[in-house]
Amino acid sequence: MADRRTRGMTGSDQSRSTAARAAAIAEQLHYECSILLELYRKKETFSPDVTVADGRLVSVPPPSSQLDTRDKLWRLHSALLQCRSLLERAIAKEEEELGGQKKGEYETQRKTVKDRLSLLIINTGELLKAVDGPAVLTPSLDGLELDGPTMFELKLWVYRIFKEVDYWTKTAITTLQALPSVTAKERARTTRSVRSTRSVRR
Amino acid sequence: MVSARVLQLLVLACLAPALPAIGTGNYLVTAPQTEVVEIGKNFTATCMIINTTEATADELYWTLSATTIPKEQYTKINGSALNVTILITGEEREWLLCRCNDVSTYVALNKGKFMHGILLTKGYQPEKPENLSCMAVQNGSRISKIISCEWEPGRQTRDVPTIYTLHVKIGIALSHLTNTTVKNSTQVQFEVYPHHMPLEIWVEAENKLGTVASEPLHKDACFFVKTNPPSDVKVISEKSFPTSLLINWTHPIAKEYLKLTYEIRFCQSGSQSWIYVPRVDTAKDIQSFRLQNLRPHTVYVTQVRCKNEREGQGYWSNWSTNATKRTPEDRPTSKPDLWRIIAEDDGINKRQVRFICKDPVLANGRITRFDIKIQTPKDKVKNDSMEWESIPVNTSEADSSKITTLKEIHLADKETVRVHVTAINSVGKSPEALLGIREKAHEHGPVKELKVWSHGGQLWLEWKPPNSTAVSEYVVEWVSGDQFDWQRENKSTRHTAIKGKLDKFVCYNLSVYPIYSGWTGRPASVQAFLEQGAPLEAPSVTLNGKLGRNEAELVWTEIPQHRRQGFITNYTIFYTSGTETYNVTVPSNATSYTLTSLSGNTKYDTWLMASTIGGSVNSSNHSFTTLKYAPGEIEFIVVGVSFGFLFFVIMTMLLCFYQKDVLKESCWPQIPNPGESTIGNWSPDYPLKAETPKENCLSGISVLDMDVCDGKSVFEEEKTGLPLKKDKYLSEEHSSGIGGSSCMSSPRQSVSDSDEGGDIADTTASTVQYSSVVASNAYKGQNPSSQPQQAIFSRSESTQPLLDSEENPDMLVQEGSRQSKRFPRQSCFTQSAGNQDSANLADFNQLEMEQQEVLEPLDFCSLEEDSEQITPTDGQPAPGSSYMPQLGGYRPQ
Repeated sequence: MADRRTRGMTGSDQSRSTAARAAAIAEQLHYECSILLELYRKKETFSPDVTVADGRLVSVPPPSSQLDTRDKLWRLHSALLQCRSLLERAIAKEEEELGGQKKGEYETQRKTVKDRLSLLIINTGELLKAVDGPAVLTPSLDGLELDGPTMFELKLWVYRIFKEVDYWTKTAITTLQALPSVTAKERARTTRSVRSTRSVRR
Repeated sequence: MVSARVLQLLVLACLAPALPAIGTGNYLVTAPQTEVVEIGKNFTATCMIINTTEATADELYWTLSATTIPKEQYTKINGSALNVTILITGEEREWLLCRCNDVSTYVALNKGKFMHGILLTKGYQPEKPENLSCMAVQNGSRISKIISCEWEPGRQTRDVPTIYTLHVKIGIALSHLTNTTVKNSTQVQFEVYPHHMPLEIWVEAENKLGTVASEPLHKDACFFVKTNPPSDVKVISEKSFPTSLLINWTHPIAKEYLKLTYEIRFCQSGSQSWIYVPRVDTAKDIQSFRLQNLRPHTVYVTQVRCKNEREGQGYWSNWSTNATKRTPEDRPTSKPDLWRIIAEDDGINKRQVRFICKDPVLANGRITRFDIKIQTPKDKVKNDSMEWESIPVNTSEADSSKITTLKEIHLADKETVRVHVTAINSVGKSPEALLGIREKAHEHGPVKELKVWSHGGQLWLEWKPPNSTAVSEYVVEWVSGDQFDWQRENKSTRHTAIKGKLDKFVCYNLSVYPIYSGWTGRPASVQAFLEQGAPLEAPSVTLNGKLGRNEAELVWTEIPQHRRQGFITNYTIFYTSGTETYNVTVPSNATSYTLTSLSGNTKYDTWLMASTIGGSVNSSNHSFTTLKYAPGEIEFIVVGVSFGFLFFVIMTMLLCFYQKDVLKESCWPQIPNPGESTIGNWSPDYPLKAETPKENCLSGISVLDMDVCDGKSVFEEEKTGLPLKKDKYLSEEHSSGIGGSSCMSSPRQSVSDSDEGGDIADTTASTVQYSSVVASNAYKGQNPSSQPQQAIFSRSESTQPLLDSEENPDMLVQEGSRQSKRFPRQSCFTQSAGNQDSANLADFNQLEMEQQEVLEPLDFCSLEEDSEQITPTDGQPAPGSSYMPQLGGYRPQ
């Protein structure tokens, strides 16, 4: 099996860079997020003028042109992790507060977004690993919990989370598409590791 | 099979009580108690004797499905253990049993304890699944979470099935999905279809004999995607682009999921020959495409399909449903196909020319009318810009094979004409077509060596060009009944196939016309069938004219052209009289045949078989019976017979003529004419005038006949004459000897009778009568004065009885005179008397006949009178009674 796994990683699809793949997944997620938001607005009959408060739910270092690729990836990965946590909390809260409703299109889309986000996180995690980035701890969302929210507050909070996911998805697309060098570095790293392995064998 | 199972059950039944006793009661143990053995491999088992010394390994033997395994396959381990090695074959389960020979009574009585076995369950090592393929189809607006995979399983047995496990790994150790099945396909479900994620998919085949995995698929998830076909495919026709159609469609799936490449194909409506748009033109993620270089005013069917744009990834979707659109019209871009039909006109030296036309090949729309201009040399000289005449076309659909009749003219053989035609549709008019017809005598020569043959369901023509090199093209024309069509070939063509639809079994007249810059030349023609078949009917045979005795002329009519279905090669006439069938083959142009050598007066069945190279068909039977005699034969016979008869008659007549004397003597012997007798003359006293009394004598006979009943009185009256009579009798006794001998009366008897006086009168009369035959010659001597004594005995050949008066002429005269007086009432016989004057030989004969006729009834009475006459005439016969004996004597005759 180990052999198969190795072969799997060195297959034809490996030519496609993880960054590009992650960017494609981010685009999918963005598309699915937009559908989710639309479905949510439709579900909650939110008119387009309903806006959410400024400020991010996700707390990451501010963006800066000074950040290197590894930091950018770390920041993105951390934000996506927080997004997933928020999304899971929102789904749980919705199901808790609103009861286990029948799975409709919205619920299906919501789950799709969550699953797709997980895929993106896997890919950004791989990229982070590829650039030897530091490990990202699972963020605590204690401070973001609503305390006895009203229905309006809850719905807006959910809406705000979806918007946050949408925002970080777009950020991911931008970040990942701007990472051509990552692939090169990844290749260089891979090459180095192979050489080192051979030298060790010698 | 059944017996094997029964055996297994039996063994199990035997083992059941033995199993608990293993180690205590069962003396044999086998090993290994394996679950499964591999087919095609050797299997070794060991049998051991335990807890007994009744048997040794030498007495052990193995059986497999009730068949004892040969000892060559045994291996003795020691005195109590025996190995066997067998090759596992077959797929059915079998029992491998270890048994012991009956070496002792104990063993024989405890067979159940001296047996142990192994159930061999057979199977194959699992084989590597081959040709693994997976697919995720679109469901709604996204790809389904389910990915389905299938593979080719390896062989397996029923007892050792193989279980397949599908493994799907997403990314690097992200998740690992499995599903198990015994079939050759299964599916796994993702949380969400992992677009762009690398997947590793493989199948593990596992059974009791091992595990093996297929070659894994390392592909991006998009590799397995099959989307829906493009939706909402629309084709737009733009009037300003008559050779183009614009196709629009919608992506079946969001491009965030999958970037697609498309493939477009199209064809003319009704055609199945698809034209594929090169992929390079549609490889981009497009949603529209413009088809170009199409034919105007033509219906096109278009389809689109899509797949992952990455080369080699994903499956092609199904083709979209047909999108049908007609391209806009355009001006006709080719000439109309102008042609003519020429027929001989009723007038002398005139041709009836009908100009016909087909739509241009590139009509590019519906032809609404044709414009025609017919130009003669005169017109050309007079005015080169003649008026065009419009011929409207009333059809709703453009049909290039449709023939439109434009105009019909009468053209003299010495006239030349040029015709110009253009076709017009809603957009514009076509180039001008030209056709010229020359004077009949000046038409250019035809093509040479025109040949035709059928091949591959088509009629092929081959020809050699005419001498002239100015041929610009050829027109091949084919005609059959109402079917008429033509096609054009360029000037370099030497052989071609008829492009129109031809029917089988139909005769076509094929003509090739050379065209000299629009001027038609003389055609070369030939007849041909696309395919020949047996004629639909054979002509009915009938007899022509009179049937003969040995020959019959059969006639038939030609089969109508449309019923022939081929060229008639020959006719075969069959005829049979019931025993043997004869046939005669006659050429196809024959319509009659005379059968000869027929038997006379025989019924013949005859029929005709018409043949083509495609087959034959028989006509219905026609029966006839030959004549018994040939014509004229009867006439010949009749004439012959007639001539023969005539010859016979003539010969007979000649014979009669030359031999008439002989015949006369033979048939009519000469009877001397009493009238010419010389007897009367010979008597010296016989006067010639005595003939008259003879006639009186005949009348006297009449008197006697009638006076049958009055005889008695006659006798009484005549008694006075008895003495004379007596003398007469006496004198005649001598003569009776002559007369009696010829008249059956014996003179002697007569004499005796007269002597006795009883019947003397009769007897005497008869006797005397024959004497009077002699006297017949003396008829002429009959006269009252003649004396009986003077009678001359002259033998007469006549057998005619003589009258009594002949014997007694004197008496007769007296009596006659008296009788005339006494019995005038008896004038019933006066007829005879009346005829006395004209008495001759014929009368005399007639009289004899009459006498006989009259006398016969008198016979009846005479018998009575005999008795009456006897008494009074005793001794004195009365003259009147002299007739009675005559009658009596005559009867016996």
